[in-house]
Amino acid sequence: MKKNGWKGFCKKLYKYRVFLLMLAPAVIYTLIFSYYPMTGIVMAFKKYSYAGGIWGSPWNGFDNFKFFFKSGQAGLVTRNTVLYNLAFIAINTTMQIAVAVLLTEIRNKHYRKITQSLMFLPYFISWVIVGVMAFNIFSSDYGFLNRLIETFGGTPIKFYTTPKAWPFILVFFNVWKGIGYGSVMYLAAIMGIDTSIYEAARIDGANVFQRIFKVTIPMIMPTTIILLLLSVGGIFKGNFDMFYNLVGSNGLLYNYTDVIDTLTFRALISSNDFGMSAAVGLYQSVLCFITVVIVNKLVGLYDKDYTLF
Amino acid sequence: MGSSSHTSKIKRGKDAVALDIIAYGFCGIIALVCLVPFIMIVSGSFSSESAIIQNGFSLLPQDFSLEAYKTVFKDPMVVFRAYGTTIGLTIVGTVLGLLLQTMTAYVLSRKEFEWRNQFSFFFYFTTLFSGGLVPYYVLMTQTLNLRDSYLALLLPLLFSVYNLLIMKSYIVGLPDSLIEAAKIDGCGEFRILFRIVMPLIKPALATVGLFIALAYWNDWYNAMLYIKDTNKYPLQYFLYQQVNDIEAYKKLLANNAAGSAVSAISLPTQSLKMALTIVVTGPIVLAYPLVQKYFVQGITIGAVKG
Amino acid sequence: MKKSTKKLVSVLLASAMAAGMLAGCGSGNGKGSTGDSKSSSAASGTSGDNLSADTSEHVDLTMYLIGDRTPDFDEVYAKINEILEEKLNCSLNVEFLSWGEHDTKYSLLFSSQEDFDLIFTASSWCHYEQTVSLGGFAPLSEDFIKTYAPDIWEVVPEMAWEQAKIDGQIYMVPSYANEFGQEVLAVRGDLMEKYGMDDITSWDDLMKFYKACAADGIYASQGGPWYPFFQSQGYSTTGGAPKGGELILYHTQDPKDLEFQYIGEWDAFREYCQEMKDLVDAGAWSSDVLNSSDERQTGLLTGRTASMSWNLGTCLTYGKQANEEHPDWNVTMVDPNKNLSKKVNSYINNGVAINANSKNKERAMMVLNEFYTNPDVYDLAMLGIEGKHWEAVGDDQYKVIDESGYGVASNCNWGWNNCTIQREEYLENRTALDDKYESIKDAFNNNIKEDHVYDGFNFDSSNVSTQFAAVEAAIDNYYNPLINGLVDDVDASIDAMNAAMDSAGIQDILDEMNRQAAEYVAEKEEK
Repeated sequence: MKKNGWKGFCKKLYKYRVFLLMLAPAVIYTLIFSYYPMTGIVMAFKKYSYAGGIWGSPWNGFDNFKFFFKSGQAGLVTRNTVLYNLAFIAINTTMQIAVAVLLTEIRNKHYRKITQSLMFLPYFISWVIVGVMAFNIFSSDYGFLNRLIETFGGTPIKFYTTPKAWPFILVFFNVWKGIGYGSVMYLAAIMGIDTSIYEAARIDGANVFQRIFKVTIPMIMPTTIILLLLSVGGIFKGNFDMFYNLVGSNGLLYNYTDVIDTLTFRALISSNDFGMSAAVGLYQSVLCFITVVIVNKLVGLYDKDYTLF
Repeated sequence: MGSSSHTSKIKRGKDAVALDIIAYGFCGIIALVCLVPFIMIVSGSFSSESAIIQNGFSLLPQDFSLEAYKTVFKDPMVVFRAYGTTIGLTIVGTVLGLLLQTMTAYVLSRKEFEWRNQFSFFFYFTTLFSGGLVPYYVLMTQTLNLRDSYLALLLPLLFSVYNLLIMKSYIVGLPDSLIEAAKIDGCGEFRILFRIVMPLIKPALATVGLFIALAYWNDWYNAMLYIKDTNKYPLQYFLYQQVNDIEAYKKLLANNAAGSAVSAISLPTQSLKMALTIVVTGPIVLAYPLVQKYFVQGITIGAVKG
Repeated sequence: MKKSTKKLVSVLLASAMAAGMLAGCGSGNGKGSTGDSKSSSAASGTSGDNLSADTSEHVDLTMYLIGDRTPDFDEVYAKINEILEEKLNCSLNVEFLSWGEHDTKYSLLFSSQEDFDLIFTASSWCHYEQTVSLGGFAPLSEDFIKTYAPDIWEVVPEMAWEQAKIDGQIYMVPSYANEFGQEVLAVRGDLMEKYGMDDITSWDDLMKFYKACAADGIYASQGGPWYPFFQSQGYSTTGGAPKGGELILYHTQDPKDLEFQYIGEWDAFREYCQEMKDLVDAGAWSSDVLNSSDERQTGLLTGRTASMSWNLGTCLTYGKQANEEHPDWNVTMVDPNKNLSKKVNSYINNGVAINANSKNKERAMMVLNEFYTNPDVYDLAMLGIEGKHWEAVGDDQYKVIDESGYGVASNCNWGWNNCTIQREEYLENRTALDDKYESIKDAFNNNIKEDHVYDGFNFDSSNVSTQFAAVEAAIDNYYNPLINGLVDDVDASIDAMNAAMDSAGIQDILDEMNRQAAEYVAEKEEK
């Protein structure tokens, strides 16, 4: 990072001219489609009106942030959002890696291909349908699960009035829906491992489990860490579609299921206040940013190559 | 059964057998858990609306009915045109997007490029902060004037930082010596990218390509915002509109005192939603094996060995 | 993504509003709010065709409606345009925002300064208040309306203009149709007979029926009858108050009572919630109601519930369907608040507004005048082309020939609903239920309640927007479970709700409301 001033900079510009040329399309694209609209963030500090637009509307300081904290739910939903995301990240990552590793160990080509394809199906099922399906499973009147419990002589569980059950249900559906899509990334990483390394491990007398834990897992670390960092970057953002379609308007469950995005939706659906929704968005973004910078630093301490930036 | 596997001739130890049991069992169970709901959706799409409302989901169609599909395909030409639009967009978008993302990822993964972290940050930052819908909408419709243009469907999904960083992580995994050797041979950067790097990261290209394709395939939101011309509707938006229409129509007719509404009440909505899932999923499931062939076997980096 | 889910909400609200649309004014344009026209000042010399405005320059106008273009839509509007060209030297182009997307796109039209003139709007479900507060609509002064739409000024009742006012200013032309907000029930006749009841006319009857159902092992309904309850107490929702007006009620049956009632501090609410909890425990409805994906009519139609509570028209429609599929059910309709005078629904549940950016506001208003009061344009816009889509039966009825071509009510043409010239649908095969419907409707029309000054009051929350959003955010933890009797401990839950509301600032909202209401009342008394 030593700098020789302007001249050195120009020198590097010349040296990297091919790289810069290759980057140019993406940089221009990002400037136009991401950075230019990003100016909308100022709406978080403005009393937006149509006539004034984004720039002409009057400033109102931090007023737009107040409602969120005044609702008395800010702490709860922020905590829920983070805890759910942590659970999703941990369980998704473990499950997806397990699936990817085990799939590659299946030697029957057809079995491997079919099971892998089937795992992709939930990705195509919209959360709306998942919500209906969940009701078909958990309803106390005619829910599949409760009928099953009854058949075995148990007492039905009223899932929709039992908040504590929901973290498990939500995590289950989240894992279920993403397992096919997510494991593909790890599968590709495993496929990128040079087969000669396995050869070497086999000659060294490693058993299959050692091979997995000593070769496969370490070799897919770069991908795993990038994916983890990307997930951490969204740790204060809730998956609105999932929570909304599975929990809906059932306030009984909110202490365990309400996330920032669902709360904001309910708060602003009638007023459609642009400034307030921008404010909550900014609150989430800033927290995500701080988190990711810290985590990225920590990763950098471990291995510089694994960092995001 | 593993006919092509080169390890099959070697006597397999207990550890391998144990792993087999775990692998076959684990993957089998998960696949089953993923399959059963989908079968229910297929059945639901072939069931009558009233049967679904009455009995909920089931493994076999109840009161077999093609009503939902008839509703979807009531004007087949429109559906096929929408398919055409979506397929065209998906192909063009995937090719261009893959090119753009691979090229960018390649540069960001080159250790000799000192500014790579700054540029990575430049891209990554945009995933954290966004200005919301209003300025983006104004950009698309006023500044770029893309209303009712196919570009309005193509551009928003062309470049994704997530895909970029995933791609970068794959390229970083390649041995440096490979590229060094190529440079000594006098290859330019473009040549290294296309001739040496790309063939080695086929699984990664397949994966990221799949993600880009899925994004285009599933997109209805951009069409909702920017496309008015019904001839330019992509498939998902066309279907999305149909469900909305029927739901709204049902509600409206239900509320008009007149008896004429009765016929409309049996219009499918639940079964239609499920039929739409099938109509949308079908082609992708059929095309999936094309991608899958890259997940069959690991690569051998010949250049390093030789 | 949010947008797709909001869709359902908006469609539901749309249905609440479309209710009884074609039922028109009804027979007796009784007293009070249905008052047939403006009194003195309105007839200020302008008569129908002779407008003072300058129409020498040809203009093209654009109007946005909610819905989708039906196959023959353009054909119908070509005919309307012929009339507009000739009379007003202008043409009208109609664009649509479909049901699923208007939540997203409505505000984008204004944010991106799109060029259009007229747009459908409605209180709460179709963005009226929020667009006004963001400055999207052109204010319509009395003079402006009288000058460019004199016939509308004649027809629309004063109460409707009152309701359309926000902070003293009118921003929409409200539609004129007398719908009733009070809910009635479509009930299984066979079960009523079984339980020895021949009618349900009061809250006590209703509770008796609910308990009988629960004891019989059939669900009575798909949730707690909260609306019938507070209506039975003489209360009504307050326009512009949180939670769609449900959180703060006023005593609409007693014009002298000017107090707003926050439900958390209302003893009747506490008793109601307790009663609901007992009903749920007895099995009067499923404990899963909050998550059920069932539509509101599903229970009745599938036989899972013994009744359905909705507005008149909808109860008729689904009652009929249920009877067709299960003649032995003998579904009938009852009014659980028979002794109560009826409140006419707010007129601003549909209307049309003018874009603040419109370059031709005057002409737009004149076009609206035609849509609203010219019977030729009105019939075209409502029903389509005579002889192709509908045919006249007598002077004031119609019969549908081709429903799919134009669609009588799928294009939110009810924005300019005018029951003085609205045709009613002619029914060929009348059933007992139709008669029952007619008799209840007549009873409603003959028993319209006295005006309460707050019937025309609309709370403007912009001064307390922070508290308002905070209340909306926090209330859902308690509200739905409470009104459906799903909490374990009613008292504890209401206390918790009150504590949450206090810290969210409900008192500030009430104070602001009382201040605005006092101002409003004072202003009314001055007149």
